[in-house]
Amino acid sequence: MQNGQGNQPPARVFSEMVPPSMAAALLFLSLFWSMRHPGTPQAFAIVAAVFAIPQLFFPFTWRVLRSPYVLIITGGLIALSCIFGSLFSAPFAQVYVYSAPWFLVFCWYFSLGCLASGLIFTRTSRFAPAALHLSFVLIAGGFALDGFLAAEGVFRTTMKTAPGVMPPAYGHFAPGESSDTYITDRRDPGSPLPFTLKLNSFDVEFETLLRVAVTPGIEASAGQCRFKIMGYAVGEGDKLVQDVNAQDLDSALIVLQVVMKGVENTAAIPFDGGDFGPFNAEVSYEADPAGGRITDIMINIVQKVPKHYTSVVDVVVEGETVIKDAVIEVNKPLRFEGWSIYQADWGRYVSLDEWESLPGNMRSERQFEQYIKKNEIPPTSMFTISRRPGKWLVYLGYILMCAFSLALLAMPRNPSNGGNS
Amino acid sequence: MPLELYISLAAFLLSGVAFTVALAVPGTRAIRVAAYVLQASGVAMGLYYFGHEWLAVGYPPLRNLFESLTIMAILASGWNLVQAIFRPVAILGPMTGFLSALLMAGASQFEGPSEVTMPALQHSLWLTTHVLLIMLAYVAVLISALVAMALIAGRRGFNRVASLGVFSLVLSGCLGALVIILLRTWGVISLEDRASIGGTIIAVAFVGGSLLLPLLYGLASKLGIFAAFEDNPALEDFLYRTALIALPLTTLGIITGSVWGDVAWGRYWGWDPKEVWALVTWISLLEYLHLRRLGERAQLAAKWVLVAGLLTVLFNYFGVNFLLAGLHSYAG
Repeated sequence: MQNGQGNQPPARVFSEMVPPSMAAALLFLSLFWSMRHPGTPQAFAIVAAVFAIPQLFFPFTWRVLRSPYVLIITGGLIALSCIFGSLFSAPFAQVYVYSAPWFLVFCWYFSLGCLASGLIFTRTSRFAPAALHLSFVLIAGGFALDGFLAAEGVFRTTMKTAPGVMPPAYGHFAPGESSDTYITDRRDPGSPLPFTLKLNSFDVEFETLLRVAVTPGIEASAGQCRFKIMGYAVGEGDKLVQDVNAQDLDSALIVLQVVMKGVENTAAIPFDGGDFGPFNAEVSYEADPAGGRITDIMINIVQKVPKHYTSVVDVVVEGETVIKDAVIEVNKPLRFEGWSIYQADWGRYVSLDEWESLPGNMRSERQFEQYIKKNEIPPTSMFTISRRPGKWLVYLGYILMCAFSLALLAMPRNPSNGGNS
Repeated sequence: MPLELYISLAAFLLSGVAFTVALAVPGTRAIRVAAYVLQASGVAMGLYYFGHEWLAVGYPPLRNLFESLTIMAILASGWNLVQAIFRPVAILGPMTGFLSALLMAGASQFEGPSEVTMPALQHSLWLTTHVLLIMLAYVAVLISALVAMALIAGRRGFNRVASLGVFSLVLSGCLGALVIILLRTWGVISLEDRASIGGTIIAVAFVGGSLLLPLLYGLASKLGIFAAFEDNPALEDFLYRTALIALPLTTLGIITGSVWGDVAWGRYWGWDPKEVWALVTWISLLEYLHLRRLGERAQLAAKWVLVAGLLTVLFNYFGVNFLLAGLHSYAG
């Protein structure tokens, strides 16, 4: 380690220290200003960048930054800040920790330390460690660029709701619905997009675990669960019966035993289907032509968590369909002119108007489900949309980091001198 | 837990015992060979389960805590077997044998194979590369941190006691967690929410650790174990090389996760607790590699940073899964 000041005349040391001191004062002032005005970390980042980067050209700062202690200390501070931030909820930590000026200061100095170390390694022709340090600078640059230019939100669609959903859900498309605006939260008036997205169709596929005719004693297993159909009953608490008449349907139940993770439960499912634990029972039946006895009862036990959901969309620009029937699935986004559209969620909602028109008794969860089923109201699809121009810089940094960390691993080295090649 | 994994657990545990005997009693080559055979059988059994489940479900069984602990146990023992081919390290045998047994025993207390493959996880390429890389990285961090603890214990005075103290704390915490979960399953104790389970485990870790520390200290002094770690350049070299492998593995693990996050959720970094703690582990490895270049005192600090890395991995695995909510919540 060099401190670099031992043999220098005091005047030179002083002249070297003036510019960094001024920059430090400016950084401090901008930090102070930024803290007084929460939510303006970007402004601070600009000031920090403008005044911090030229510091590399001043010998004093250069000596400080190229020291490994800068990386060690700022790295340690970043790690401690991350631990601190993880104690809070992600949205809170994102605003008050990870976007806070003090955290950005640590990141800036870590990046500048990497830049200085990278340049030193380049001078000594040690390209693998140089590239490794500079790759971090690229990643940090990409993050910083996205700090200014990234956009992320959901499409503005008509507000929708369902029992227990308050305030109304936003961002959900019903089939046939289109949107050309995205919003970042409920209060956001929205920003226009250069295209319109139209949902043509949406399909949710659930995993069917068991599909049987209702016969007492039928047993099947799926994963760690075992299902046994005990029979069906008319009215709760009645004995299991073999025959159910059409007029009994309102009080008829299918009695099902579920053994899940070693715990045995008996669930009674209404004849028109219902939920139990993480499963859903879909029941179908046929009555004899005379309309008396119920015959051919079938039960499908499906998992509530969807196995798959698929949206089919059109992208329309100035009234012209430029992409027809594009498929969006989880892990399969649609990319269009720098924007990426992701399958984010799904729901069983109706528009607020339709909700208002429902009679009071239809707003209970059970009645609402029946209403959805009876009227064949399709599920809604939700997308997130984002544009991150800094992503490619980040990815370039990733590629360099992967390639050169492996290259460094393959290089012969002498551990006794600290692992230098 | 499936039968194959119980067999695997027994094989790991026995291999740990056999490696310890082989290490303690000189001239017992047959026992060492038997230990390797046992460990290889445990790995083979685990891999058989892994392959079988993959074929049955259609996705690699890396979807929840049970499955990832299982693969971590297999990888830890696999590491020793691969190491034995290139450059055997005597201490690694008992270390990986017992570590794998502990991980597998931990897995046995969780919910078993995942019944649901969430849509976000239905991408075999990313699921396999990201989870396997990050698991392998964590195994490397665990091994290097345990070796760092052993080397710190090789020094006299406060560092020895502190290192053994951390080891006692972690060990009693892990064993205590196993016992508490077992007692809860059997209905002996009733702990309902995760916070009270977590609090009890932490209390058990501290109480058990403080009881275990003098016991381990006395035993290690009597058996001359500390002396074996004193001024051991071969082990120092192994530590350095393991950390050097752990860093690119962690880097690749984080990067593949980041790219997958971009494909599935539209963001390459979301400051999710899991991501944040992986970043902290990555920084601890960076700190170790930079600190060890700065002289004798810094070398000691570097080893302590690796020990802190072990704690970050443990917290990322259990603390984040049970106490903090995030996009990776399905992992718990």
